[in-house]
Amino acid sequence: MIFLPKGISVKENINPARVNLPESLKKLQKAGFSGYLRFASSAGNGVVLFDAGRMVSVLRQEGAGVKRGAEALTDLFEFSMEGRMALHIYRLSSPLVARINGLLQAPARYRDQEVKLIDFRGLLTKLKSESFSGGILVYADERVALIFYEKGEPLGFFNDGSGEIETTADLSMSVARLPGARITLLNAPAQPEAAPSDLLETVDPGALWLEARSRVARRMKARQSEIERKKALQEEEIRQKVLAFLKDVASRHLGKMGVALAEKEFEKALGEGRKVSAEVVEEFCRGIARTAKLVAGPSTVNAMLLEIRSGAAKLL
Amino acid sequence: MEWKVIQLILWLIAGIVSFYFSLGNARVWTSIALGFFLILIGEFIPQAIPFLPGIEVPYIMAMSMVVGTIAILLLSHGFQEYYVFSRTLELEGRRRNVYFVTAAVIAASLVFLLINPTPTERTLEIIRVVENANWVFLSLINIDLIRKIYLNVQDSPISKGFLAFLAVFFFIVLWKGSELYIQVYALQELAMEYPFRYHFSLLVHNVGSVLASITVGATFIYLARVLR
Repeated sequence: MIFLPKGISVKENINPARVNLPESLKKLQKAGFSGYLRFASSAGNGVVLFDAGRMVSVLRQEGAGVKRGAEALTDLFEFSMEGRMALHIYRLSSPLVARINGLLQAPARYRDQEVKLIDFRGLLTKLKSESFSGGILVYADERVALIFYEKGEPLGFFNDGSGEIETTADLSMSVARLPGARITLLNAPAQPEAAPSDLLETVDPGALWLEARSRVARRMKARQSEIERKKALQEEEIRQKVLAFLKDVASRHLGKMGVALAEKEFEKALGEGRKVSAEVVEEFCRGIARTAKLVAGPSTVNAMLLEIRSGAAKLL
Repeated sequence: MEWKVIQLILWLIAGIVSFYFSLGNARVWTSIALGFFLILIGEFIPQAIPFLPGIEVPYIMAMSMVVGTIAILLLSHGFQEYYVFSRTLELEGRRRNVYFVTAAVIAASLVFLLINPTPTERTLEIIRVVENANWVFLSLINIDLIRKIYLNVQDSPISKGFLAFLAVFFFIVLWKGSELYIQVYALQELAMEYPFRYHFSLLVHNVGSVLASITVGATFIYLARVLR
């Protein structure tokens, strides 16, 4: 249900991370805005519906799950702050908003059915015989159309770029003909709720904004520590690889004492909190060259250093 | 050719080789190589006396024995350092300091001799016994130390050098031990009474000295080839 036709564009592709959303919602309230805000992301979508300045509905969908009201609004704030969403604002007429709001509250009868796999005409006949009231949402790629039904009869159509309920069916049907087109069938009360309450009067967007901010901060902190943990693991892995390589080379040239020398000189070269780098390897070479002289001659030591330098360069 | 001449020539070669080795190698070898070099001075000035006229001065005799004692102390110190290095892989000190300290100890020993009465035959004999006793017991300790060093550096390029040092100290024990035996039991004076013991001990002493000098020279030549 989150796929709504676009309506009359007010603003599109805004990065909501740069917008103070509670203030924007207040402005829309003051301006008596009718229409909806669409929050889009690859992970899920959200819709905030306004009717004459009243925020009548907030939905967030992620996968099969749908959240509503304050919970949904906090999520939308949260994902907006993280820069994971694009915000589009569309103007609609108040009667259209009222119809859509009715559908947003309704449970889906069928969801995401592929048009080519169903008998569309047969379905329309069945809906007529059942005196179906609700809507058929037809969508393919970015194009969406909504057909309103009341007591088995099509009441009107809401197509992309339109702010009103239209009476022509052509565009809606053309979406249904697009490859991969799908429909969702939504039940709705025969008459939309007379005057839905203004959510801005019952929830405090400022407080939700702060809650979302703290959630984002917590998540970012967790993400940061996860990144650092992964980085540390990665560095440790490189460290172990390089050390294993150094021990192997030293062992081949200096025997088992070479292994001990390599471990000791590597620890010395790493010092306190240094990462494995070309400089560390160079320092290691200087150190082991000094001590290896006690157990091997220059030609052996030089051959070992040559192998270490070329091999370590490949590992780093 | 007399035993003394053979020993003198061989120890001269061994001493030169070991001193040359001490110059161009890692610090830890300085004490060991210098110790073997001091054998040349400490042991073979007395051997060379018949060929160096006017050297019978008791002070020179006493000093040569003191230098001989310093030689085994220096050798033992060197092997201890190497053992510590083979265990901890840590090495400190400077080659220059080893030379200076050795020279200072020799100088202090000389001063000690000069400020005391001229050494008599008995004094020289006691100094000689002390020197030989030091050589025998420290050589035995060094054999154990070198065995441990060998186990630590077993498969390194230098490891065979320590096997050679084991042989060196084995021959030194024979060389010095047999002389100590002769001295302790005064076999020289009892040669008529115990001819076999005396002559066998003397043979062991001479053969031990020759073999020790050969193994010292050969060991340092081998080490020089491995380490340079």
